[in-house]
Amino acid sequence: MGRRSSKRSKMDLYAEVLEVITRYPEGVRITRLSYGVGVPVDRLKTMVEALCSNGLVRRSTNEEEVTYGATTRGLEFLDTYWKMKGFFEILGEER
Amino acid sequence: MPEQVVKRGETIKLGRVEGDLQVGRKATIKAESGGKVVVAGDVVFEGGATIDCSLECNAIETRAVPHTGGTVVVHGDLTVRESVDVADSLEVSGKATADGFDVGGHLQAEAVISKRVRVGGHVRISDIVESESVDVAGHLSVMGKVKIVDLHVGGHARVGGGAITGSTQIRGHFEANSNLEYGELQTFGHVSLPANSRGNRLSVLGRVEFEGDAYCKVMDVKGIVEVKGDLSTDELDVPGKMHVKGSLKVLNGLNILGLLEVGQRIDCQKLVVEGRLSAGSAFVVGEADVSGELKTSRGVKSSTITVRRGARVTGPLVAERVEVGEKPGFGQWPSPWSEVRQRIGQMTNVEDVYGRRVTIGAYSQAKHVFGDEVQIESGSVAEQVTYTKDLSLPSKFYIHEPPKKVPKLPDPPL
Repeated sequence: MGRRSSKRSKMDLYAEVLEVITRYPEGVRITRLSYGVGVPVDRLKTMVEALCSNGLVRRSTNEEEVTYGATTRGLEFLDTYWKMKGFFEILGEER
Repeated sequence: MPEQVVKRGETIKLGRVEGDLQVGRKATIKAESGGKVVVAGDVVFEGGATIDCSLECNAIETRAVPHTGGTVVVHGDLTVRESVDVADSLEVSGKATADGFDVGGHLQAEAVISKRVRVGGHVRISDIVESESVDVAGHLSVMGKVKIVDLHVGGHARVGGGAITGSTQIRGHFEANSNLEYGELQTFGHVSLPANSRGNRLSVLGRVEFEGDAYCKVMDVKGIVEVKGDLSTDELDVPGKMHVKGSLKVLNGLNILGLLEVGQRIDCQKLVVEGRLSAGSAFVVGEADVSGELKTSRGVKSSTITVRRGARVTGPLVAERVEVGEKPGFGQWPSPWSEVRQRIGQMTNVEDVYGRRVTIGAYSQAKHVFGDEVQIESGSVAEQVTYTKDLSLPSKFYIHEPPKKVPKLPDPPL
């Protein structure tokens, strides 16, 4: 399965970052996160910072290793994102 | 200290390695003989590398320090006794077997057999997957059958059929290409399941399509359901839209808040129509309660039928006890359909009614009424009333033809 054919919006990317992060309850390093999301580390760092500053992602530092985990607010964001996406698709089909 | 080190960019032929094997970036390993390299210890990759044969080892690890990405490619089978931990992507042209797979990027293989699979990107498998737990952040595509206990996918998922016996959570759309047995399937997107799929619980926000006959114990679909065959279920609420081309069999209660269209017959224990129901016929063991709109071509048969004020029924009603024009029950709000009809002055409206005891309530309208005991209330309208025992009429009523007392009622259509 290749990368998506259509361009991902900023919101899609934030959701994908959170989807990958939620797979790692023990925390995930930025490098591994970048492989999952398919975004270069430097660009991903800006996105993760934005998620951290909005309380959706938690940064943990342990023995010089920085890992990221999802907060409850982040999980709520993900649920809302997918629900809204589902509703928009239903409305789009009924138009 | 590893037993054997393959330097960066180096191509080397190996047979059996007794200890650990360290593989540099862009290195290529070929088999000395037999098409397989066997490593007694672990294989540590420093980045992407190619194994030009099958590989058997104790464990696989890649060091996820920055700039050591790259895909580990195995041109053959991969057999690992313990776990595989790859920071970036893993591609195996044959069967991949391990105790656990933890892949940061994408995973591609012919088949995967493992206890646990966790992937940060997408998964593409051309044949089977057997695992207790599969957790994928991106999309999942399995062309062959699956045998999975729990499946969680962050994107869309497509499987070739099989069984997912535990919990299935798909954020996007889900599709099975051949019959699937599922436990609890939950998705925010659309679901497409082939004929003869069976499951315990289906919870879907979007659209569900069954390509043929289907069974699902409990269905909770907020969006649209399309069944191209017969549907059997234990309990069914229809808050959105549902279309069943064949017959619908519900072991317990059928509760319609939205729209339900059934091409043939409905069988259920209890029927509540607050929205709109259209069917060939409906057979209800217990009670049918209609406060919305009910339309059948051959009729509804039940032990008791209550048609609430403002409801509209097309097609014959057959029951021991039929009450038309009842007030909404306790805690039961009139449906939007009944409110609309009340506003425009049309009250309860039914066609032919067959029953032992029939009540046509105030300001209700019926066509032909057949009953042993018939009670017509004030302001109601009927074309004809035929009874065997008793007829109770108010001071103000409208019956087009004079009521007829007969020794025996005609047989009901159901």
